[in-house]
Amino acid sequence: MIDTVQLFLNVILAPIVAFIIAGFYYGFYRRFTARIHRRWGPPIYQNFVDNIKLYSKEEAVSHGLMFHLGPVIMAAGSVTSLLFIPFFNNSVWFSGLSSYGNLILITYLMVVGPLGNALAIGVSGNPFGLMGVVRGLTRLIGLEIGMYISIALLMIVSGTTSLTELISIQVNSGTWNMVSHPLIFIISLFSFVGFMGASPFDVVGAPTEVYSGPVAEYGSKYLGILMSQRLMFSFAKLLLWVNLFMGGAANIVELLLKTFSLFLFEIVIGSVYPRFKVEQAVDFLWKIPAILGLLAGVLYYLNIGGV
Amino acid sequence: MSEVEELKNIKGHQQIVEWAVNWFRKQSLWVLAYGTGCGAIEVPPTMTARYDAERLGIRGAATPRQADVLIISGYLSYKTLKRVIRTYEQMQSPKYVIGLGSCVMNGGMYWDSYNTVKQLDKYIPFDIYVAGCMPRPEALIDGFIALQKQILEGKADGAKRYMENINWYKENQKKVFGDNVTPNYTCDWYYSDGGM
Amino acid sequence: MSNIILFLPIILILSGVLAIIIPKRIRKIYLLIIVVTIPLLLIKSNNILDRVVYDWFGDGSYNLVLEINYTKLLFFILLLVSIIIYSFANLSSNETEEPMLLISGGGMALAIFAGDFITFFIGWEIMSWSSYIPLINRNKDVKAARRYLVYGLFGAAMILTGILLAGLESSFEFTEFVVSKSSYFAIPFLITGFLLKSGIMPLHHWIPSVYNEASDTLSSFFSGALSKAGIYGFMLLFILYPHNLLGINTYISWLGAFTALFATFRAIMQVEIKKLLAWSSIAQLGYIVASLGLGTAEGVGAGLYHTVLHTTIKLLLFIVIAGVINRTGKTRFDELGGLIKQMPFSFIAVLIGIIALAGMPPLGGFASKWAIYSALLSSGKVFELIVIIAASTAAFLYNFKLIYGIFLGHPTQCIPENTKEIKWGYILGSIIPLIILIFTGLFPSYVYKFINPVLNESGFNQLLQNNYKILSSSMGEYNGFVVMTTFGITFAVILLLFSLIKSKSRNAHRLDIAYAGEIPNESYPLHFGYGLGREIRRIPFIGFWLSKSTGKFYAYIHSLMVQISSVVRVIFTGDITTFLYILIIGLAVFWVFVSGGSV
Repeated sequence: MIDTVQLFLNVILAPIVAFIIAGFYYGFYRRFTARIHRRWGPPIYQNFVDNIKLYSKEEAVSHGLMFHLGPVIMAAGSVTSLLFIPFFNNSVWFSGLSSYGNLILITYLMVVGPLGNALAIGVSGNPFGLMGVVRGLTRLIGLEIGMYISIALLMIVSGTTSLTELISIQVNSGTWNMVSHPLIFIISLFSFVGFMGASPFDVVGAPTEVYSGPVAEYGSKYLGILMSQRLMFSFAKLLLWVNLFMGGAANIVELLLKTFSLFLFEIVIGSVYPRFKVEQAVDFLWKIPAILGLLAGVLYYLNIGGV
Repeated sequence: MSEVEELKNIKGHQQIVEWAVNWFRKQSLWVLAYGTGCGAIEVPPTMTARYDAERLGIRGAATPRQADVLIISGYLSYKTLKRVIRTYEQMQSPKYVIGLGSCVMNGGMYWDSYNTVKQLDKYIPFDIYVAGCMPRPEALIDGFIALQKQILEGKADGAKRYMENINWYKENQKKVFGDNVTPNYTCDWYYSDGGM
Repeated sequence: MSNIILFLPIILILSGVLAIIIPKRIRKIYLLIIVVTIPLLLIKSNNILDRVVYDWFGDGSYNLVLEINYTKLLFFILLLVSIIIYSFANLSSNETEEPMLLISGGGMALAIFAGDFITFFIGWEIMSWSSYIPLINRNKDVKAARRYLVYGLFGAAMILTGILLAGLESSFEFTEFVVSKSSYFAIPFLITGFLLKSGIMPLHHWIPSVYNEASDTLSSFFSGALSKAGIYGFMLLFILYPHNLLGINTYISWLGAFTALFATFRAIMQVEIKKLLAWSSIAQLGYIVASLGLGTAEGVGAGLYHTVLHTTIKLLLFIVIAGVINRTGKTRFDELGGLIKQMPFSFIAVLIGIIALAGMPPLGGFASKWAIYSALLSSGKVFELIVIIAASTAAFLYNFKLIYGIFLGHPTQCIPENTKEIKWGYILGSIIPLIILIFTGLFPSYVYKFINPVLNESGFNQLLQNNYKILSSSMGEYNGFVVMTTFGITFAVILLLFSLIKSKSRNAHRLDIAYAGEIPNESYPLHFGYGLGREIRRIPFIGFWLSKSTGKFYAYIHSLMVQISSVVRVIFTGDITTFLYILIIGLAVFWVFVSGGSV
């Protein structure tokens, strides 16, 4: 009975907590970029205001049932992938369904939402939106390569695909994967920046080029739910990388510290670099991580270490 | 703090919800990136480092579906007017229009031009005018603050006015465009009987 | 007549021959009755595993054997499902290819049930030839049929060489087969033949045009059943040979991985619906071969799992697409579009099909992909895994193109108001695959009930699966039931919360889109069906490989053959007198050769 209640609470609370934390992170991000531009920037709670405003608009233009369901599928995909990632490495709280999760499943669950949303964009009939989708899917080819080079190496080195086991290996040995497998971590960072939608891999939603891409046709509550899920999803990705490479978190302070440092890394990269074209992005993501991955593979097979 | 005082004056549950919703609306204004005429050049400094409109919750939006505020930044030719009306109708209410510069109010220096719109509020409803030729970004920000105040008081009702007086607006538009009006589907939801 | 199941291949072939005589009106019903009775027979017979031997020459030198074991049964069931679904769809189609389908299916069944190489080859040839005839009858593109013929002949020649090498020293019977030196040399020949049938690069050249030119319903049979004959051949090798002799499989596995990648790129470039599906079929066979080639229990198990699912998915997709083409008469993405409102069922069917084809989590497609990935991981093949991941990520693009080009976007040449839902026969045919896909999504390891005996027969360890809801491997486990229910509940809850929001949804007109202030009209090219995904050419790596084609290589071979035959033409002019001279000279040479010059 207690277990059921706990599971229920975990499942309810995890998305809300993720939403709040990521909302403040992105609030910080907006202030941070503002300071780089030498301006004040919006208040740190601005994202919540934006989101509530979008929900409280009076009308919402829809293009039929599929258009209505698309953002919901997107949000469901994000929440589901969040539920399969544990927040803490030793607590029963906020572990969600992570005991059932494995890495391949999580990486695939992350794509379910965007593809469901792609259907809605297709049904809206907006060519700009579709162009954004195609760019997104093309970019994904590059991103997944980098990500899987690192994840596959990590899974082979650790001998498991289960995320909880990967965390417990790090906890037991006392060293983080980013220390014991630095090369794998570096490879994964390329696609991490891409997955977080930061420059130089942010061509998908280019506002002036493709009219903000996938979200071109979305307004009011549809844009609102997409914004909410984006916040949760970003936190899910931060969480995944913390769990994979930084040994998870023991308590809330550690969690915030680790996710925030990763987030800081991403936004620093994102504010410095200009944008790649989509084919440049894929080419880059195939070349650099692939070369590093080849190096890592050779090092692994020769048992030299430092992989 | 005027907001706190105002909150004190409000009585009743429904009113507080309305006030809160208005507060969120006022605090987050997304401006459509749509420039007409010479005033368009005043918008970028407003948004960027020099005047930083983002500290007031004002930021750009790429498409009319996402936007709350439409800035008519200067004179409008008749050709552009059609696009502006189309864009305005695609925005989702509550939506606000800011007129920037005197050309929008009375034609300004184009008062005798044959192909610009002289009095724009015959075609779309305005919430705020910012006078001048050209008004500087400070003035535009002042206009934004005035708009925010209107929103908070619930007086920014341009969208509602357009809805209620749609026949008048459409008649005026028709006078300009003649038979070359936008297709039925672009505005049929404004009518209770579903079309002209 | 010990067991009627054993003689099903011959019954199928005979009923096919009979169908030629039967008037065309009742052929469809005839086919349906035949294929519906077969599963009943299968369920009725309690002891399926059986064997029958026929002494060909009466002296015991050559025995023709038909036998059933679990491997054969699995592939026969795949074949049977293909024929059943075909016969449902056939009820609404305009084609009358039932005789050739039955003969071809019977031929494949004969090859599957064969207990010796001779019967196997007879079945193989019947299968190939009878599937060639519907192509030549189409009168659409004789080139495609001819290409099928030439490749089929080459494959058959390879298999025949392999069979002769394998069987001459020991025996043609599988049970008495002994590995010798010459039977070891048979492996590459046999594998070439099997790979050609499955269409693994570089032997894939015939597949796209043949799948495209075959009638719409028959394509499902080509992709669902006939391509699996090669996979059956692969499994046969595992049964016959000791596994340490099959070292070539490592390279075959890589071949499969590259097939998956490059065929996926090609699929994205296609404009014809069925060509896209054909290239996708090549790519999926690439996954299967990559997994089988690992030569581990997990790899072979995953390969078989994907075989089962690929048959199901491709049957579903080809049947629904056949229905759409039947309704609209359009075969290209830039001719269709915006049909979602008129064809809701086929939209959902294709949606489920592409979710499974792309390997998205809630459905069965993910389970088999997951099995393949973890098999690759536990064999330590990182780079092969990366290639396969690249392929399956790029596959999202063509999957999206498939559903977008037909159902989403804006209508182009096909006016939606004049079209209706696909005909009931196609709907009926697509229901069985839909059920299988959802079922395997919920219970991902149920299929191992059928795969484990096959693994056992081919000399691998069984993959123990304790719970049907959990697919487990050495690298972890995947609980399909939990994933599906979690996703479903999350979706329902979010939908509920979302509909509580006060803002009123208003359905906009199809052309009422954010289009930079412009008002698009019907003549605007708003549908992105043609170009979708084609810009991947601009990625240097992909563009380079897309510019290469095996077609050029085969064209070179063709020109070489033309040159050789022109040399032959110098001697063999077709003139009867030169022929006589050659005959006389030849006889003289022969005489000298035989007698050694002594008169």
